Amino acid sequence: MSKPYKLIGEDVYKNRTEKINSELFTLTYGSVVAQLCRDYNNDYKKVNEQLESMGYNIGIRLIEEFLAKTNFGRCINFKETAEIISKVGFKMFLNTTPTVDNFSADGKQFNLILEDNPLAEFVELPDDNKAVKELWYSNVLVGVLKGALQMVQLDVDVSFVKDILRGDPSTEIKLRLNKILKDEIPAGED
Amino acid sequence: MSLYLALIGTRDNPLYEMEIKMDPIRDFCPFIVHSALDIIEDLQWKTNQLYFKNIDNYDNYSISGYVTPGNIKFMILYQNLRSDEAIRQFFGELNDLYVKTLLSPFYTINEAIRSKAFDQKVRMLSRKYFNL
Amino acid sequence: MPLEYDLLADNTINKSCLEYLLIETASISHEATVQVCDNENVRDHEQATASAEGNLTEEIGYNIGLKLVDYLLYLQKGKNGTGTPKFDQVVNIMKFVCKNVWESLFGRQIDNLRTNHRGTYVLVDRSFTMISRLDSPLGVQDTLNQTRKHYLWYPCGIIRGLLESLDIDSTVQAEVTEFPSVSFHIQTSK
Repeated sequence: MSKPYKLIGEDVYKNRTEKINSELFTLTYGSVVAQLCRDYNNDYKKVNEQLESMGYNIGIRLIEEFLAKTNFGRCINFKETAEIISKVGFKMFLNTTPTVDNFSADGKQFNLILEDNPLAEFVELPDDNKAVKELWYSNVLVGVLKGALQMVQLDVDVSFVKDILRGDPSTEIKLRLNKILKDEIPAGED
Repeated sequence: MSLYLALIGTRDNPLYEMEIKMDPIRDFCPFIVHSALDIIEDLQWKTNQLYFKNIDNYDNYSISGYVTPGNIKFMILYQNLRSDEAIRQFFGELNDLYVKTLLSPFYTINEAIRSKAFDQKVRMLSRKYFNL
Repeated sequence: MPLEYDLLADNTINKSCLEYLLIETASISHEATVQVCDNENVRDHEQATASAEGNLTEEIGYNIGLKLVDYLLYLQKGKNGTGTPKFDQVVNIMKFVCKNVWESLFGRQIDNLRTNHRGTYVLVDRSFTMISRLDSPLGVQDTLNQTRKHYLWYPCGIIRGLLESLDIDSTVQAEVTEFPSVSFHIQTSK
């Protein structure tokens, strides 16, 4: 039976985190992205890479806080991982719960649909006709997910596939499990 | 009924303009509104209100203004608008739109507002409050 | 969607998100500076000079600060119906920073405001929330270093931007007097 992850996520967010006004974070993230766009002369591909690499560094740090506050052990399968990412991970840090969708038949791939994206509130992309095609504004999340999952031995490909800021109907991140890293599999794993 | 709206930055620079049915004096609107800026600047330091109604006239057009705390001015030049209350609410919602535009990371303070979404919303507000 | 966001809703997120972001911002600033010179393979964060590092995080705070007056006072009016304070004297602006700005951003007010009446203002926050939880395993000295490196440029930039949006040029510096007490020294030209 799967655990009541929704309740756990809400409980951790409510009782075990310090909170700030989310607009301050949104403004700060926006200021970082805008500054990177200036520094890279609107080479949005480089901005995406930089955001992902910042996210990766954040992910490998953030997973410690996540594990410390939840005491979760290993997931049974990738479906459980998906549930935990959405209902506990996103809830605990960004106070939002994306929908898990489109699970592939082999159970190794799914999409996260972000109905609310605290990173991107009140953002309008630059009107240079390039940003809407090339910039993944919230790409830091890709790095965070990759980095955090790698620390729990999951090698996962993560990428944005849609973004409302670009005019898509929704904001979606695709996660595909490559392999479970072998080096630290505890005894008893079948 | 007719309306000209201008948002003016802190250095008296125009940020946004819109006009509905101002044909007879269209080309003069910016000048008329600009000449009323001095009046509003005198008034704004004497009170802490944001909305200044009927501060000046031109022919049978009236001028009202609104100053945000960050000193951005919303000026309207108009004829036969519905009511004071409608104007007050229009300015209030415009302030909301302006703040959201300001918060967009790619928008810099005092920069011209080119957002299509902003323009659409302002036109919606003119319909909502003034049937224009 | 652009312009659909409800500014008056009380949205919160986990404070750690902002902390992680600021740490990363401080460490990429060196790279960002170097990459302008098209030298993108430099990965040595340690080489980053204190000033280069300060510039990016300070710049980010500054860009936020520029927008705060209109944002915070709009919120205040919408939520409490409070009128706009009169900014006819610099000291009134400083009081606004000490109370409204600090309360909204950092959840508490500045404890002490002093001035020499010749354009210098000193704001003391006896428990600056961005750093109050820091406790480096490497000891007090490292905690202080981390504080200076990651967390002080940001509020300094915010103050400088806010003052500039009200036509006041300033230089702002912060120092940790007795951890986690921080004094902000503001030198204005008026």
